[in-house]
Amino acid sequence: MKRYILLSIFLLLSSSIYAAKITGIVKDGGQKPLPGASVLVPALNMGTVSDVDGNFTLTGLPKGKHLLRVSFIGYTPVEKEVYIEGNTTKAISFVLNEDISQLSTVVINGDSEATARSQQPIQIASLDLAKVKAESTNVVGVLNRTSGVKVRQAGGLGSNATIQLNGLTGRAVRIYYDGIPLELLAGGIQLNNLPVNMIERVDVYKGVMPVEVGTDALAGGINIVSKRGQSSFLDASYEVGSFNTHIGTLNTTKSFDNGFYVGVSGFANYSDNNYKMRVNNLIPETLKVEEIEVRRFHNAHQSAMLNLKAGVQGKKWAEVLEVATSVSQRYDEIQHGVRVRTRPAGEATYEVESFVQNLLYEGRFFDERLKVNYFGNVSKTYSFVNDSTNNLYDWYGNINEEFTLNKGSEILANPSRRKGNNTATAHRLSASYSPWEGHTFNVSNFYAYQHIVGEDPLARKITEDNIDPNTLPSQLSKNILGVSYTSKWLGDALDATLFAKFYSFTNQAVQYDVRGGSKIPDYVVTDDELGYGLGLKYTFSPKFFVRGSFEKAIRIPDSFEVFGDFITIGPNYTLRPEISNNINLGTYYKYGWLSADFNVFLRLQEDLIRLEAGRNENDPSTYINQAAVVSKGMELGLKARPIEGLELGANLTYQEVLVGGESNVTNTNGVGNRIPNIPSFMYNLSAKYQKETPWNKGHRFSVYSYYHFVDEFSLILEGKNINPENLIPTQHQCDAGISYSFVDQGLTTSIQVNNIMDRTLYDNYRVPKPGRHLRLKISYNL
Amino acid sequence: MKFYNTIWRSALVALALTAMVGCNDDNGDDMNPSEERKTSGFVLVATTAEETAIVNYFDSLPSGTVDVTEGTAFQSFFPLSSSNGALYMTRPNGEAGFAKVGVDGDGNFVEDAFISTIGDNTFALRVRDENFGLFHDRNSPDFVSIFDPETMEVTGTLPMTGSTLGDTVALRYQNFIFRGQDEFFSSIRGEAGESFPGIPFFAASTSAGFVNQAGFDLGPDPVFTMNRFGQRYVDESGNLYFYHAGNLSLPNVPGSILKIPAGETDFDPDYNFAVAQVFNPSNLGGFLSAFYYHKNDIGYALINAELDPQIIEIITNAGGFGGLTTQDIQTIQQLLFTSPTGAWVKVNMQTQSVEKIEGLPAVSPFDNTTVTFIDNEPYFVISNPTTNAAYKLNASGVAEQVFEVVGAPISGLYNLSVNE
Repeated sequence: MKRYILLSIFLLLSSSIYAAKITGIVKDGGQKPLPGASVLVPALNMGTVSDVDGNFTLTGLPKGKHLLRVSFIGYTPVEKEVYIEGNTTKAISFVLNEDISQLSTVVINGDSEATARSQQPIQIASLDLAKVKAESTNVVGVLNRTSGVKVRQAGGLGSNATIQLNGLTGRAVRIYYDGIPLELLAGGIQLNNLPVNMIERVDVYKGVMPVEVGTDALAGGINIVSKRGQSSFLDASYEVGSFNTHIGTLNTTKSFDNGFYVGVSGFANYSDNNYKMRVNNLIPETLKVEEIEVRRFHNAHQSAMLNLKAGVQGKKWAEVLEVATSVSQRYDEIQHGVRVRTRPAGEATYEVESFVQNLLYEGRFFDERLKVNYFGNVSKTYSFVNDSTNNLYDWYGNINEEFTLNKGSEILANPSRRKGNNTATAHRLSASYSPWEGHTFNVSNFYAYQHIVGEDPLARKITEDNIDPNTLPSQLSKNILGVSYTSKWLGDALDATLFAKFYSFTNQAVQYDVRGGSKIPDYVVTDDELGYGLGLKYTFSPKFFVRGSFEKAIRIPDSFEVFGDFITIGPNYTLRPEISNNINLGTYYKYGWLSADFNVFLRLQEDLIRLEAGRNENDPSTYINQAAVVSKGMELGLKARPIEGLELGANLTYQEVLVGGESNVTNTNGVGNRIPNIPSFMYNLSAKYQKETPWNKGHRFSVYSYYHFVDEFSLILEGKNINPENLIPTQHQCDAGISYSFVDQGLTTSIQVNNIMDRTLYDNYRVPKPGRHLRLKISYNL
Repeated sequence: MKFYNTIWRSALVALALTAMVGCNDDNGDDMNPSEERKTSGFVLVATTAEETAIVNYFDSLPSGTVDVTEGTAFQSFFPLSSSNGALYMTRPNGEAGFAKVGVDGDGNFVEDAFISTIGDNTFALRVRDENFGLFHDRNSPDFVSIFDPETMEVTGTLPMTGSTLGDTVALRYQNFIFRGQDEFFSSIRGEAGESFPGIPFFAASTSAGFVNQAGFDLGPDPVFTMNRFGQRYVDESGNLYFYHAGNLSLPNVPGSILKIPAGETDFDPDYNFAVAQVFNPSNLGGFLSAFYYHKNDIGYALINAELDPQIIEIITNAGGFGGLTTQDIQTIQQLLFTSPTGAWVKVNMQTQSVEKIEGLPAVSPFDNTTVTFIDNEPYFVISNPTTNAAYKLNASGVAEQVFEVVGAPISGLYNLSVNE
């Protein structure tokens, strides 16, 4: 054992006292770091690639003059000569400018920041949305093509979407927009309404969230990174499709020579979502049902967002300083609750407006050894739930003249016209310092605060004081301090990330009894937790590496779980955080035109937060801490480019998610049972072929198709005799499209057919999704 | 090498193409049940940790150990009544309404017919006999509906207006107890969950609806429970025994069995059989959460035999009931549902005497334990962290285990040959 320790020390020392080094950074024309750029010394056949921050290190260079060539697809290569004297370290920077003639190649083959991030010690599936921006898809569609990820969406554009990630689901999977949890950005921006043209990339963190991103995710999360280029560009698109669907996006920035820039971005979505589906329609006169095919009504979605930004870049004191203001708004007609019932809702709606003020700062000091980032926002959200009619609708959209809804609501247990008025603020300050090459210390602090209040004239009052419980404010604050140390060892072959996170939170609410109780004292719950972890990656060659990570992760219950919804879900101020111990192991191998990525995971989850159904109106549903959950599974991803222009992809996921913990003699806690409503097996296949047109080299066309398979699974724990009523049948979804790019003019058009086979596709609780439908899209880039 | 490359490439292209064309409709075959329907046998229901059900059918009463995971899963399975071998329940697929579920010749469960209601969470239904049943659609506070148990066709309605309660709040009818062919009784609650100081009890006619409002004042915070299944409330003479759990005040109004004498429609003011108090006069929490009339003035009741000392300590620390916080109340409720202070007792309706049933494991006072009658003898199904089994009384009146269950907690045993 001693021998190995000594050997390790020797290797570490030898790596740090190696011969001459060249270090540097690669940036684009907008002074943004360019990860994944190739840095070569052609004469020596030596090379490396730039990391996530654009940094690179070349070691072991002999004395003398060397020519360095830095290239990145889509950019004009740059060459520089460097003279090396003895065991010295040279620092050099490269700026690559975009090569417009290569833009089309970027779309096909571009190894980008997403690729670089996907090769970190911790497991990240980074999805480069530049590759799909010509397609008629959205973030949900892209995520569904990712191994280990299943997005459950109840219907068409804008419909409620929940994510399953490695067996975790619901609120256990945190979703971030530029590193800030979506729930703190108000309701206007959601996973289900974000067009791909607004987004740079999507990072799917499996198992471990790095301190600079992670807040209190339980076992990973999804970070949607918006397009934040500070160089001049214009990106606009318009999409029209079946069901009166219209999606428009605009994203533009103008930069000036003095470093100042301004930008406007936004989107507008609308869809009637009036696709056909089969339903059981209630006939109130006989209390019988008829099975009919109808076109959905009262299912429209409309949302819009406008973001204005102004900033300065490339200054000594600030790499970037930006202020931004965004306004977002959405309006949803709600035709049913979680399930499609025999009577639809014809008037229930949900509206939300939000105003967000953002401040962004990025600074680099001491030869860029110290990097400081700050991102903060303040948001105000106004929401309105309206479920307050006595009208009884049928599935044809008609109001029944003879019968009314006695309770005065269509979906909720009690009528509601709740106006919400929430204030939130979130701040992240992070700094990284690299005292030596290959060694970086990071510290990041995230603070968030929410103030929740509202009013509902139809709410059941607290009996004694005749107070609407919605008017009683609730507050939630949390702080997460993370520290990490990333380092390279063994001649840069070993990457290690060691980290710890300190969690603290406070919930403050007014305690009341939903049954008409009389106590209204302040109720405060505080807690502190410690999480930690380690990520390791060993690179055998640029084509082969293995990696593993461990994390004890914490998730603090959110406001909805703690405070309830004042309607059907009661508060539980005593909720404890969820804890999960996660182990991820994986390997990547590239052989010629084929690459494979294989990962396994194990998660031991404690104090699972789940909704417990109430026994009756006097005992409302509440979120509770419950038994342990054990999740284990594997993922395989394959990519191939067998011939020029053809790109094939496949990924496969198999997982088991079981109730864990100690079983009692009668198994009343269900230990060993599979957690229902989570698919075990799914895979995706993709094929894309792109080529220049023979008649014009400035034009390209591409054809692409996607196939998505989800094996049959049950909504509930099944017995030996399978009950088909409980099953979500096997899902086969095929989408295909064709695009044509006038590359020289920055124009791309595409046509896409989704669900080509017109299958009846279901999702949560068998809510049908749209059948075959068509989308046309035109994009313009400048 | 080039050859293998070509093979690889071809295979991958073929894989992608295969995937694109492999989209046939194969969403599974529909169930094809036998036409035969069982009229006898036993249905064992277990409830999972997810609140769903796994259900098994047995031609004869099982013995030894039963693994319920061998059965069929349903999103819910709450039988309310039985007739001619069919079980009547809220729809097991989670839809709003009621279903008639039979067992086919292969032992499979089949939803033979259903009634779809406008109101959600509707759960009040009872079958009088093969020709007549009543249910309440919670969307209709002023009437209950008559249905044909054979076809599940709605055949009429009965007005329930006439009481003073319905003037101020919409009503919900929780239960139907038939007495003979012409009478039924129903316990009442506000549609939105409102409770009244007492337990309003409507007497009604099967041809004309509401007749009389009976009542029994329980003071504040009354606790109302009722048997989820069946009709075991009326003795051979037509006396109707109805029970309540008491109230939450301490010392509480103890739970008791009340009596509507044969031929009358109101409670007998002189009959108030406080079972838990009789069993243990010093009991501060004399709750009564289940009662089944058997025969010859004998019935079986589940009581809280004593109050958990932890509850007394919480109340004392709070300075009395009025000082309890919501968290205290939640803790007390948790203790009431978990403390092993409940006991099944044998009660004599005539002498108002109480006798503990020996041999039954300890249960909580509000346990979901049910009683099933097989060959006109009581069988108790009990599930707690240490016991998951069915028991019967031997010749000496001592309980002995009939079979045990593994896989999930047992929640009910139903005898298809009994109409209830």
